[in-house]
Amino acid sequence: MRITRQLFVSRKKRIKFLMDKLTYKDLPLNAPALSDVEVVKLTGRPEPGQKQRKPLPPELADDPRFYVPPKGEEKKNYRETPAFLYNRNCRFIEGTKQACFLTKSVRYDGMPESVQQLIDKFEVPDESRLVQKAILKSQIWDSTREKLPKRRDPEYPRYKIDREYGIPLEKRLNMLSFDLLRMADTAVASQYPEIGRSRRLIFYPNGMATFFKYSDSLLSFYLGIDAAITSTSPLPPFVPEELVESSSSEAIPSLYPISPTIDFLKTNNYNLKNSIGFSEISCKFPHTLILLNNDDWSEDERQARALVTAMGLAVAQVKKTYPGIKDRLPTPISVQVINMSETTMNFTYFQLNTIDFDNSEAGVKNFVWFDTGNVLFERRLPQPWKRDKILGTSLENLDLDPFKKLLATVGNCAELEDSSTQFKEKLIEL
Amino acid sequence: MAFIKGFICHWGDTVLVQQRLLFRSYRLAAYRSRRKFKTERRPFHYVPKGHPVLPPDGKYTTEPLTYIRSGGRDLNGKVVNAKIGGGPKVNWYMRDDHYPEAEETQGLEEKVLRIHPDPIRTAHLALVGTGNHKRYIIAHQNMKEGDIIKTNRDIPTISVRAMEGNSHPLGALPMGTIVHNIEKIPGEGGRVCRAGGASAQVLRKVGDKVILRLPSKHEIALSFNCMATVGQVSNSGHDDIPWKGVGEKMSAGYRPRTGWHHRKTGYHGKKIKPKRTFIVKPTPPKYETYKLSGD
Repeated sequence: MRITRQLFVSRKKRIKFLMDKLTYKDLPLNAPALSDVEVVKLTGRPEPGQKQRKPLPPELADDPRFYVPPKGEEKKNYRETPAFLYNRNCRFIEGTKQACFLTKSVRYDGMPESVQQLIDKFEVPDESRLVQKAILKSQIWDSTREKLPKRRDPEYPRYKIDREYGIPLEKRLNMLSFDLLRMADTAVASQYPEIGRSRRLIFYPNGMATFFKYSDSLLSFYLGIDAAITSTSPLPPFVPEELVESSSSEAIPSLYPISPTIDFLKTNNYNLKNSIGFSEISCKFPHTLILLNNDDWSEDERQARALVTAMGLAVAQVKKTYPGIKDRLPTPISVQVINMSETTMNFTYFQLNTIDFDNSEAGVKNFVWFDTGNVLFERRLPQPWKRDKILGTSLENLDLDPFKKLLATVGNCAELEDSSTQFKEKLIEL
Repeated sequence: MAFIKGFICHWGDTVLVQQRLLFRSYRLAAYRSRRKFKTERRPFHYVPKGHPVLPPDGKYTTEPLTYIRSGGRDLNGKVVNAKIGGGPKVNWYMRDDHYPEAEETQGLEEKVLRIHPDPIRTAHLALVGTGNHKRYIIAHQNMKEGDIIKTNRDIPTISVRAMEGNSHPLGALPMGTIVHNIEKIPGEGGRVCRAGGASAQVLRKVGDKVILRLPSKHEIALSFNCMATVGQVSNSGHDDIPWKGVGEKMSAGYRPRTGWHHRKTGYHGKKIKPKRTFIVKPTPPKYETYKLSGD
C-alpha cells in the first residue's frame, strides 16, 4: 500500500494518480469482443462550456496487451503420463560415468586400433602452413567487429577490463572447424577419389529424434548436430565378435542413489518422434558427427553429450531397419563423433551391440572409446594489470597431432566405399 | 474549529470541498497530520537487504534466481535505513531447509554432488540428489563431494550413533551431540542454527522433551519429533576476517553512517580546552638474574 498526502493534493493530481493506478483487473468481466464493437474516432475540439475528461482504457475481451497464454494442461502436447526429455543443453552432473551407465557401455581411453593405424596414412601438403592459415583466418584476419561479452579474469576478479570488440565465438568456431574438415576431405579424396559420390557432408541437419522405455519411464531424445558425414555403406565394427560376447562378464560402475535421468526435464507436454534426419534414399548410414562446443562446459560433460547423441542416432537407425528387435543386434552399428571447441578437439567412438538398456549387469554391453584433451593451440588473453608488452591475444604452441587424428577418423574405411563395385553389384542383382 | 469535508472518488468522478482557513487551530491540526507522513528511521533489521524473484509456478528449482536489493527503502519507497545501499548483482539459490519423507527403518540416502559458497548467505551450499530429484542444502564443516547422507525418522529406544551429515529426530540422538538446522515445530522445516559456523548441543532429556543449548547460550526445550542434522555449519571463520576499509564495505552493500540524529558527545566539535599533559615515569632498571644450582 502506498501512503500519500491525498488530503493536500490538487484535484488534477488526484485524478492523474487514480488513472495511473488502473490495471486490467479493474476492467469489467463481461466485456464485448472486438467484432461487436464499432470503433469511432473522436475529432474536433470540445465546446467551451464542456470540459473533456481523459478517455478510459478500452473495454475489450480480445485485447492483445492483456493476453494470457494457456497453461500446460490446455495445450495440444498434453499427455497424462510424464516423460523425460533430453536436449542439447542437458548437462550431466556426473559426466561420462552417468552417460556410460545410461547407454550400458564399457569405457576405454584412447583410440581403437583400427583407427590408430591410419594416423600417418593421409597427408596434406604444407600441413603446418595451411593449419596456421585456417587459425589466423578465424582469429585475426576476419573483418567483423562486434561487441564481445564482458570478461572477468578469475585471477583478479575485481579488475574491470575494458570492453572488447572483435569476432564472436560462434563465427570463430564455425570458420576453423569447417576449414579443417574441408582439408581433411581433400586429403582423403586424393587417395580414394570415389568418395565424391559415396559420401555426403551435411551442415546443420535437423530432425533427429528417438524414444524408448527405460525402467518404467519414457525417454525422448531430440538431438542437435552441427555437421554430419554420411555414406552409402555402414561402418564396420571396431572390434571383432569374440570380444563382444566376452563383454557380458564385465561390470559397469553404478551410481547408486542417483538415476541417470536426473538431468532430464520431466514434463507432461511432449511429442514422440523417431527419425534419422538425413535422407533414406542415398547416403543413409552415418559415418561421423561433428558437434561445436559453444558453451563453457568441462571436457567430461562434452564427451558425455557426444556419447548420448551417438547412441540416439544409432537407436533411431535400428528402429527402422529392425523394427521389432529388443535385445541383441545381428550386426553391431558404429558411429564416430568429433567434439570441437576453439582450441581443443575430442573424439568418441561408439559401437552399439544391444538395445536392452534396463539391465545394467546381465547381457552383452556396448563399447565406447574416449580421446579427450587434444589441444591444437593456446589462446592467451591480455591481463592489463600486469603491464606486459603483449597487449592483445597471443596464439602459442601449435600442435599438429589432433589434426592427424582428425584425418584418421574422417578417412576411416574409405576404401570400402568404392562406388564402382557397388554399382556393378546392383547391376548383377537386376 | 477547523474542518475539511471529505471527498468521494470513483472512476474519475471526484467531489471535493476544500476550505482554506487561516486561524491557529487549523494550522496546528495541519501540522500534526502532516507529521504522520514524515519518514522515521528504523533499526537495521527492520528492512531486509533484498528479496528474490520467485518463479510463478511456486515449485522448487535449482536454477539461480535474481535478487533485488532494497537499498534501505520501505514499501512506501522512502529511505528507512540509510546504511544499506549498493552492492554487487548476485544470484539467489533456493535452499531447501525442509526434511524429506523417509521410509521406516531404512531411511533415505542422498549423494553430495557439488559444494560451492553462497553469494548472499554465510553458509556454503551443497547440491544433493536422489533418484530424479536434486536440491540444495546447508553444507556442514567437513563435507566432501561423493559423501552419502541419510535421513531417518525413527526413534529407537537406544540412541543412534551420530555420524556427521545424517539427520535424525532429536529423541534418537545421544547427549552431547552437536547439531544444526533444527526444527522448532515438527514438519515445519529447519529454523535454528543455519548461519556459518553455528551449532547447538543436546544437553539432556526430560520427559517428553529434549533440552538444547543454542549459540546464544540460551536453553530451549523441544519435542522428540523435531528433526536436526548432526554437525557444525560450514564457513566458521567468516566473522574473524576484519574489513579492510570503507571501500570494501561499500562494494559489499553497506553505506557509511550519516550524522543525522546521532547523539553527539564531547568528542564532536571544536576543541577549546588544552590537552591534559601526562607525566612519564622512568622505567625501572632490569637486573640480571642468576640461578644457582644445588651443587
